[in-house]
Amino acid sequence: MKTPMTQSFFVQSLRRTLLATMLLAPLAQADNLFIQNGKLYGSDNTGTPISGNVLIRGNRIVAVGAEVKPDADSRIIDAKGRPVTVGLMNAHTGLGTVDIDAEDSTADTATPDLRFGASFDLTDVINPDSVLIPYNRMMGLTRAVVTPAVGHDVFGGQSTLIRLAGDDVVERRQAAVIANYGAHANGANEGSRASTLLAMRMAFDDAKDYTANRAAFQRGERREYSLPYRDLDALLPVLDGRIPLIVAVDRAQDIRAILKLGSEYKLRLILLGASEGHRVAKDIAAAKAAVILAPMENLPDSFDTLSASLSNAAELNRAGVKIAFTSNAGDSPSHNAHLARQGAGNAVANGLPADAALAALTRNPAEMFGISDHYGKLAAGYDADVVVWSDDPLEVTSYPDHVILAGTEQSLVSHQTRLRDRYKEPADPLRAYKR
Amino acid sequence: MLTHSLRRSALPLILLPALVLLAGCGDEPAATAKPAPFASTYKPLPSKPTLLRNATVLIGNGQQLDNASVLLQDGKIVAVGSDVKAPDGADIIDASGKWVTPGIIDVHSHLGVYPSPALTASEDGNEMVAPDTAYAWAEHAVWPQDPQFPLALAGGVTSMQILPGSANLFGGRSVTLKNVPARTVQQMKFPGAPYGLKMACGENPKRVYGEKGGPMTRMGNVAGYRKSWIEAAKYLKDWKAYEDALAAAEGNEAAVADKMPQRDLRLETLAGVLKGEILVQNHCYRADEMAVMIDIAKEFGFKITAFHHAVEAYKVADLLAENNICAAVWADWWGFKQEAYDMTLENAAFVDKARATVTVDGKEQQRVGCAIIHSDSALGIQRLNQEAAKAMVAGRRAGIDISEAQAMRWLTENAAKALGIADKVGTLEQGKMADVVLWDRSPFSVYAHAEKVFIDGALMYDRNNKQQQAATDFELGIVKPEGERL
Repeated sequence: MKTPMTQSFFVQSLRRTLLATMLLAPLAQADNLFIQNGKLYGSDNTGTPISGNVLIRGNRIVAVGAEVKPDADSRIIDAKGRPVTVGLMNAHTGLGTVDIDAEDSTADTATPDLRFGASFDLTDVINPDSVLIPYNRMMGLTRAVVTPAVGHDVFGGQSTLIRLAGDDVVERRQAAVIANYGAHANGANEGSRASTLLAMRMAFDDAKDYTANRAAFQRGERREYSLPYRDLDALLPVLDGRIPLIVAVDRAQDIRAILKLGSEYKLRLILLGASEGHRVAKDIAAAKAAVILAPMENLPDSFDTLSASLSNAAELNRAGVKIAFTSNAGDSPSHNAHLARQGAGNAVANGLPADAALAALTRNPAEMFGISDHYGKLAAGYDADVVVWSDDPLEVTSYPDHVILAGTEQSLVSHQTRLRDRYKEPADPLRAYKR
Repeated sequence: MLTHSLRRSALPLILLPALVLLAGCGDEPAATAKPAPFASTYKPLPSKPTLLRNATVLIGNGQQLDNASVLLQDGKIVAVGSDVKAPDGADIIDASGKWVTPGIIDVHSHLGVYPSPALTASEDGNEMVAPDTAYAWAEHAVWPQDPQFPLALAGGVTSMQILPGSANLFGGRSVTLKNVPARTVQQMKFPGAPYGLKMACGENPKRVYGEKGGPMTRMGNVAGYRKSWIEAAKYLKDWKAYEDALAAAEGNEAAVADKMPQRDLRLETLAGVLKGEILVQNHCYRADEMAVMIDIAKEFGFKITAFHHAVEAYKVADLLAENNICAAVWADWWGFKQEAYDMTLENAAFVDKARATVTVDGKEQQRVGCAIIHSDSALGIQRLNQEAAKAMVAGRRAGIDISEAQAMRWLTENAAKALGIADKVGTLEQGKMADVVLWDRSPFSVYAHAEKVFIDGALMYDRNNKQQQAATDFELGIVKPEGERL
């Protein structure tokens, strides 16, 4: 039986598919591109780069390999032996929802409104004209998950998956629901984290009851629920496993508790932060939970993160946990979301194999958020999101020389480069007239 | 050295011999002077003569030597070059393929005053009770057991300036520390380092005091600075009058006791700046505000040593060079507040290349930009080398030729200059303190690790030897009774 919620979800995904199809036409304006002589990463799952070419038609990669030839009308980009990867993805950002963190008028990242928790949805406020988008894009980021900061409730709202280009940046709405658990979670900060756990259980129990008795609830013949019905609605796709629940959690014992909760309610879990994840890596792997982490975070900054370590990514990966990266596991990092790449480099410096680090910036988050059928690999049939790097893509001294998104080469200009160009000659009084 | 002489030249108000009460930071207090309170008790740890050889050596002053050796002995740099012999019994380390640099110096840190764990009980970095708390001293809040110190050491950081926070127009005194395990802050104090005065421009004072009696605007901020400097000038004058009277009374304190001004801790700090003994470390993001601060300094006859968080330094790089002021910047932080909005990745590079010609005492002087990469972060301090790498590459891509050797100055020589300790550390030059890092590859790589870190010639950290990695008291038995936090 289809509930209104699952119907609407189904309709939305259908609409998405239609939109994607319709979008093919305008995107066909994209150049037909041929990247030659690249050191291609991510063309298979072996991690070993291959020397070769990438043929792009429209917004798709159509062929990859040493023997691939350009079309007659292909515009050729000579990679000159430099690394070529899929455009990178940060699995946890607030991109498009904030301009200046300290200015409330520019920030839409969370709600204090008690009527909205799990249902809080930023999709329609994500601003494609945000000055943060071209900057992060020119640094090699082509996709991001936009997740609200958790405000008053245990649940902060829903994640949206975006591409960093165009007027319609939204690729997928309602991609996950975010919850907070641990010392700083709602309920725990002035009481006990046990109450947060109870609130989560109550929410899931209520959501189950609600979905089984929706008509009675609407007639006013059902008990009061702990959350507004919209929030219960938003939890249904989490409960039936269609989308993951992201839980911000760090302490080893808290991770155990969340894994237990996940198993009880059969949730698809993504742990966010997981500073002490390495201590329970086997449990996380056994539960098939994924982890989004910021690899540079190693401070014992609270009693939840006493075991925080630079080797976290490597140890989780070794245990078989699927990992993805963010630049900061705290509230939705945005301005420097591209620094997930520096984090990946640091993870490698601390024991993570380089191919696993690159996967954590591409293929892994694609799998976590359900877009791995068309993004995350440098292979035929995949989206033409491609970056040509000056050197090792995980090095801080490397930069993108070409960023291609949906088959279109992107400008490497941003507010930051405009300032650079204006102030190259600091004594020039006429600079303000130079545009 | 450089810092000291320029500081004096810019200070018309330095007329007095050091007042006993104000001499908090002199290297060698006069024999008759009372010892400075909270004086450094730092003692270098035992060391062996150590020769690092066959390394790529960045001197820290813009020079690079390939296949070179560095000899550390008795806590000092003894020799640097291609033909250096080890004395008998020396540890000889083959550094082929490795790099040697001076110890990294972070000019902007809150380690110890904002320790980990970040508990309400230990938030001691920001005396947010009044716009002018120049009486507060950061060293009185430093927790030497902060586990962030050894993490910074593993990143090659051998010295750092701990600043009080940025809520206030005048936040208080900073302290410069050697990054050594210690029980007391005095044991960490960098011997002979001058104090700094933390000042803050712009948004923070507005935000904190806007609804608490002010200042609530940038106008109010500036009025607040000037009001305090007027008080400080009078305080200095009153003490000079007393000193003169004391001298006239041939040192008979009892005879002039009624003329002795009341000590005021706040004004002592400000007067220390006017006398050129305390360096102004000014948190200031916006170009226009930096220019206003420079004018205030000129009005009252003091010198600003460095602007910190100077996101817009590139817009006034020429003005900073002209006034001999360093800009301590991040590689890429931006957008967390309005005054941090106009970031450009080339900030440090543009500051570095700035040049100005000034006339001092009728003579023309060339001044060069002084760029520093700072952290203001317990995470960032662990990888300042990577931050410098990002800033260096951004500059190169903008067409500015910046070598690794030059970019290393942003973490060593220039940082030492901004802290007034460039005569002691910051470069691998004979006679300086042997604060040295051995990197397993170019420190400008994301994969680089500090393999060994020496402070005053003593091995303080060895990445390959757990026994040579300090654990703080806090870390003992903290997760497992027999185990280690890391």
